Amino acid sequence: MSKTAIVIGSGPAGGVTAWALAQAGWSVTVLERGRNLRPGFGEVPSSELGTLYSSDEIKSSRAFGFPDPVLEPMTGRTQSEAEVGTPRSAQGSVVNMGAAVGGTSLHYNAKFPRFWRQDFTQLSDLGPVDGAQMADWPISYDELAPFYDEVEYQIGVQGDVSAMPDFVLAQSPRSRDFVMPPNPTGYAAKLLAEGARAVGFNPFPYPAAVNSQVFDGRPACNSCGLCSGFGCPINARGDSLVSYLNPAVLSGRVRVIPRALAYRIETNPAGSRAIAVHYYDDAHVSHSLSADKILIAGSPIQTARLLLLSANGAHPNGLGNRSDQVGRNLMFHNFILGGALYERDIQSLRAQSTTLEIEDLVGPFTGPAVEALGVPYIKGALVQLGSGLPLLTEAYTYAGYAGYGLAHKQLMRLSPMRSRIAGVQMVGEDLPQANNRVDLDPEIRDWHGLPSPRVTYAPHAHEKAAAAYLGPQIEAMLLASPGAVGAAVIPNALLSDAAPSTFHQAGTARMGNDPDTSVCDRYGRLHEVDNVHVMDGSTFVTFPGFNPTVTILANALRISRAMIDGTT
Amino acid sequence: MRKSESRGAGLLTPELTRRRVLQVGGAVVVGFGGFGCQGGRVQVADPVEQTPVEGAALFLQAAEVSTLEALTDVFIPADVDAGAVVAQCARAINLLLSAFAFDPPLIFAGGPFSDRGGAPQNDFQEFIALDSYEEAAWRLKIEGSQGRAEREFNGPVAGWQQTYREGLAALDQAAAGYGFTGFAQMPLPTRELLLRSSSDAAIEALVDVAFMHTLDAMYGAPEYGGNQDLTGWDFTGYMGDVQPRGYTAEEVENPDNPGIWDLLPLKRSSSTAKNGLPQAALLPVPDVQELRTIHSAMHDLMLLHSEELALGLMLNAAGSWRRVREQVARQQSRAQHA
Repeated sequence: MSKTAIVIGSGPAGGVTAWALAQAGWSVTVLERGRNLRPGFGEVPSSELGTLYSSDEIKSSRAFGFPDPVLEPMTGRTQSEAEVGTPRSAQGSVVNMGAAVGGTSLHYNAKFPRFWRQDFTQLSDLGPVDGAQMADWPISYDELAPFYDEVEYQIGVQGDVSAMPDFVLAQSPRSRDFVMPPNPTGYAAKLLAEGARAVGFNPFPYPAAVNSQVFDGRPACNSCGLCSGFGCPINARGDSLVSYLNPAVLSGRVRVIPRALAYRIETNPAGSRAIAVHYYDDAHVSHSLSADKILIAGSPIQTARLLLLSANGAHPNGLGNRSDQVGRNLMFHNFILGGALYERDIQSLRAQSTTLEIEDLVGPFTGPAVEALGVPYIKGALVQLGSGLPLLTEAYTYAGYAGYGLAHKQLMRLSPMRSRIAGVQMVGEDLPQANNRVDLDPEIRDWHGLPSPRVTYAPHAHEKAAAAYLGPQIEAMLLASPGAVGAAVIPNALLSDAAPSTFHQAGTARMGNDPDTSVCDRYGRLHEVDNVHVMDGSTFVTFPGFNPTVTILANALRISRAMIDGTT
Repeated sequence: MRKSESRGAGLLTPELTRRRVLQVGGAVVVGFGGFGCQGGRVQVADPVEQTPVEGAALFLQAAEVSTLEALTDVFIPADVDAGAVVAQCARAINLLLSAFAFDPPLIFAGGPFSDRGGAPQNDFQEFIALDSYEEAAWRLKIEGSQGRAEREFNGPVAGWQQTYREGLAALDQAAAGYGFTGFAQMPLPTRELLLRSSSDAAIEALVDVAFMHTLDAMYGAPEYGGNQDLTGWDFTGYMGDVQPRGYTAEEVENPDNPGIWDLLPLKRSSSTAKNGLPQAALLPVPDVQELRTIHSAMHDLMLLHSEELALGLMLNAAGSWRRVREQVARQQSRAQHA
């Protein structure tokens, strides 16, 4: 008999879930709080879709493809502010993910590195860390590996196995090559790669869900450089919409309802089973739907918010929250930013952004120097090589330092962050903490009158130690780049306790085998509610230092297949 | 040859000039002075002048536009290169404040391509129709909550229209206090002095949003009404939107102007790794004055040197310079402490 599912959120986790279930004959309804930005969606093949996106930075400054910061504000504060009772110190966009059919993947950078094998057994391998809720994942790399493979081939990932160092392949073994070769390497990335090699690192092409050749009827990337934060105007990037949702809707078994904000999951009186999802449309009219499975894929902050908003008599602290772990263990990537300064234009925007990476600083690192920093070990992350800022973004940044007038104009003329400084970012691992959490703001509301999500955050001592330990190694790499006349490294975690404004987010509904310490089981199913699964990055137990989307996709596909075969 | 800048009278009056009506996909679009070619980049000389819907008018009156133009001139003055006045930033801001006088409202330019990167037509000119969510969001920002309960779910919101109207009036009033007939009649240095010394709440609120809007207008796409003649992209050497042409593999991989680093055999391989001092550090460093300037400011500049974090800065700014400064200051103070 055909089964039914409601998927909440149409980003990567929701998209791949709807696609996989539809393939197996399920009928799926997807609720998405954003609008559709791809004309022809659900009507024509992905290769023929139009787009409302463009290489237009004013759209970025006006939050195109994002929730409006006034209608749907998020709030934020640091842990130390929370301790003294400050209700919030930030309000607005804060760390909002995108909101559109296809989710943030419509304007992501599409970098697709896999996690490492060691990331799934961190507690067993490395032991506990004071102040962090370390745990092993309930799944292994090997369980995820076939789904990594499948995702890479469905979405179209470029890369070069022959250029990947052995230690990377040992930790993230692959059964087949990438779908296509890498894009041309940007000049800025090439210069940085020379520096990386000079200090003994091993740069290689950054795996990316970007077409380097025609794939699935969509064209090859032409290296315009306006990737991160921009929708691809030429349809050369794989994402939740083109690779999963659109084909799923064309199958006739999936419908997507845009501008539908799910605000409550209703259960039976015992609380053991969800019987309806309630959502608002953009006229504030409430609707409800029922299905065999309720699958949450709202991204970590919105997923936690929905669970908390769904508190009822059987679940007084939020749906599935007997463990009091819903919303906790919120993790970001704690970036170390760096750049090498060159005498002349290094054309950082003239490439698919950050075309190279290194994984030499993933760690773990141990020893006296690490212990002297007060932590038992340090895990770093991959470092992406060769970024630059587009013009208007650059102008906003300088406005924060130079103010207005000739000083600002002179900075714009020099354009250091676009044309003179080749940027690098280490997407640093963030350890899970109980007090890094999402809860419901006691006062601030969205335009439907629902409580806004509130983020409370501070980096752990581990992240600060990682910044102090790894920053100088990154600076040495930068200074060794041919032509570099200066370098700077900004250890973000040492500078601010505020949540990093990154779209790399995880935790809030962690998977685990113990219902007392986790929210979901190994299939994302809420321990306490039979038919509700969390499909997205909320389930991550730790947050290794790699761009998370390919793992979000692979994990959601793994859970979907388990539902299809009746395992869960 | 560089263009000289002049603040031409009547340049920014609400009466739209050089009109030529085109029909694009059912929407009436006005404009087009002609085509030109600059630095290999085909451009439309005057790519956006849209007509208000019948009975609607631009929000700011001519005198207000004149004051606003003088304000944008302080934000991005002319030096050896033209500034905000020639770029017509005040016009772009007036179009934003008047966005709902147009159908579709002038909030998001269309896609996917302008005609600057080789496309046969300019899709940016046809603005995107807003859905009810976007209309609610942008009316709230532009018009404010105006005491309407459905807009005050988090309390009253002052709209940009009110901020500009009151702020521009306050500027003229302050100018009168110095014996000028208006802010626009003050010489540039005195205008800047007035702004930097003012503690008038209406002026501060105006500067807070107007600086960000001026940046959008100067450095964003010209279809929004600013960046005329690509003023903001030319003096910065920015290529702007290059789709659908993009770049060839050769353009991606090689520098336009090869330097000594590209010509000398300095390429390293992993076999030369870990050999002590990096080779580049032994070579003479070019003595370029502007490099010293950048280097001295590099740590500050780098605080948000990530496409992702800088996008977060922009999103969190939500059109407020104060919010930009707060985000940067939070990082900066800790950096100095560290």
